[in-house]
Amino acid sequence: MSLWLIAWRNIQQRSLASALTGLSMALGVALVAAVLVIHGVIDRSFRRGAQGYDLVVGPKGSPLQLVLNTVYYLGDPAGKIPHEHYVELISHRFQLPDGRVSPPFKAAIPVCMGGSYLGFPLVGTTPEFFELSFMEGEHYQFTQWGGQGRNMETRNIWEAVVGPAAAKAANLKLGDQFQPRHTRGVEEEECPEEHHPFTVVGIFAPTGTPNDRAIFVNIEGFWQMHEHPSKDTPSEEQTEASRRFVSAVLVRLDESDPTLNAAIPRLIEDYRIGGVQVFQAVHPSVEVTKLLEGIIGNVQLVLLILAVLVVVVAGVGILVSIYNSMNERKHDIAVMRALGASRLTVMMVILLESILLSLGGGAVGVLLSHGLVGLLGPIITEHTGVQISALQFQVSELVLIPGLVILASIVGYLPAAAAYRTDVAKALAASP
Amino acid sequence: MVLQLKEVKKSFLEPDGSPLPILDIPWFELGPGEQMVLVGPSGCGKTTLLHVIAGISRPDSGHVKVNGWDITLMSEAESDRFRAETIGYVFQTFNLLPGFTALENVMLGMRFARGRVDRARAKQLLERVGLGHRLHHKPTALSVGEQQRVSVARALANRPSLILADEPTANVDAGHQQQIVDLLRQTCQEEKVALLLVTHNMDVARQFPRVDRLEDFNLVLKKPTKPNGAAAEA
Repeated sequence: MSLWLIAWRNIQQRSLASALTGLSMALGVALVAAVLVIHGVIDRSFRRGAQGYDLVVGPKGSPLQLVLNTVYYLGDPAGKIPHEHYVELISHRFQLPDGRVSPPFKAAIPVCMGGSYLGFPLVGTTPEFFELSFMEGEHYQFTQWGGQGRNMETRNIWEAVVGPAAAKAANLKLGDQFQPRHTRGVEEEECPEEHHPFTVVGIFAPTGTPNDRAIFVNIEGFWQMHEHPSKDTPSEEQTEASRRFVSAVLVRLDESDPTLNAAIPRLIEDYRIGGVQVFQAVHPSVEVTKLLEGIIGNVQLVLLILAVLVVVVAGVGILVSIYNSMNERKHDIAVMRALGASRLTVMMVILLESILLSLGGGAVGVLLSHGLVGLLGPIITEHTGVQISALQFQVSELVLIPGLVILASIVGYLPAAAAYRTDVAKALAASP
Repeated sequence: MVLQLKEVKKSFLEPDGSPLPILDIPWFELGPGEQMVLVGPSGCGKTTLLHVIAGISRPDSGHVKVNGWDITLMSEAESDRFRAETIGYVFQTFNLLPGFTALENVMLGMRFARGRVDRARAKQLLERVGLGHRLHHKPTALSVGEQQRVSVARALANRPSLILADEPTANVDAGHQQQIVDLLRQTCQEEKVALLLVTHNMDVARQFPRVDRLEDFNLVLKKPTKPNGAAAEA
């Protein structure tokens, strides 16, 4: 018979009070675990989305806006790059002061933003977008892992490839035709013009990136769609420059010269067309890190502090529960002492009781939070493209175990000390 | 001797700070396997004496030796351990822990003695006191007589040299009193354990070969008396 069993029997003896105390701890820990899991998923999802490219080149403006719009399809585009500027950029060889000349970009994929279908962002791009890996070693799959169909073809300008989350939510299947709207956020009934429909030729396997909830169309078709007259863009004001534009260029650099690559963003920003600096080049992972460690990190920290405070309050609940029971348990403690238990032994039993309540409540809390994440996972995936499941445990959750043991030891100390000080003869003399 | 008391004195403090003598025992002995009763009116210090012998309370002066070991010289932790291994205690109110089954209550004492629990012996003891079919019942599911039998089994669990029984029949109805006395005497005899039972019940005392008295509230232990309760009748 271990001291753990003795502690457990004591908990069982006060089952209702113990259950309520454990429940309050479970709710607190569930909150902490949920914050950790959600933050972990957001963090991984953002970093995952930022890993596909070395640079995002766009028009001058906010670097964060450029990355959020280009990589995560959030907010409005930072501006437009005329197509001829794009052509000039990708054909240019940048030169360092030491005379070295940069090799051609390994890839420079144009993307055009502006338009949506049933709320899912429309992205004009080239088939090359899907030929590159979206993360190191991970490629878009059309034939396995749930992927269907094929990549779009350059010559078929009305073809579209749909992200799996978007396809499911918008009920788009292979062969379906759909008519996107010019600009995002415009209600369907407000856009009376009939556009040439795009045909879905591929739905790629889930990538766990924001691309899962986007709709990709041939860039030429995208441009022609925007040629269509509308109230937003009167045809008489259209120029060739405004018709053929790109919102950004996703660049993958040649990895042969890291020092040269480090200098390229600056060289791109300094590059002038017609005497004007027109580009900005940003590392998406750097911008994402700034975002995560800045705004999101602080929000998470505040949430985490609040959640930890809830756990501490639950810990105080354990203290109150055990301490209040000490008067009625003095007699039992005295009996244990009379049977030969030392002061330290009865103290340990009370501490273990506190630890069992904390860890038990904590375990229920972790299961509760992951159960909720599992239940809400499909909805979150559908709305955000973020893959989330009940089994996504965060390493940081391991901190809960020593954290709860320390908390339990602290809050259990007071009642344990009361048990330690019990006057055996006096307590035995008192009626049980 | 299993038990030797020499010049044991103990007093409590009155509210005004003056000492109230409770025990004054010049000499007392109990041999191995011996069974005796200590009688005296309620409040005469019988329980305090048992606490002093068990090391639960410390005497103000004097020596208490059990199996030759002077527990007044031991540290508290040592005397706790010594008590668990050497002395069995049967309480007036049984004092079974309510959250534990009958079997667990018996094993509890083993846990505090050597850390190792002999489950088979605990079961055997409960079977011997007629509770083989009630092993997994909690105290609230046992009758008063059954609870006291569990407490007897618990006292014997660590093969002690001495059993201290504090008014073990006081809370038991008349029908069960004799059963408890018979059980204590018989099991102590079988286990070759010395038994010191305190009671104010003369019917119980008369059954023992040796009876001593604590009397007059000045709490002086009389010299050993004749067997078969002759002194108790005085």
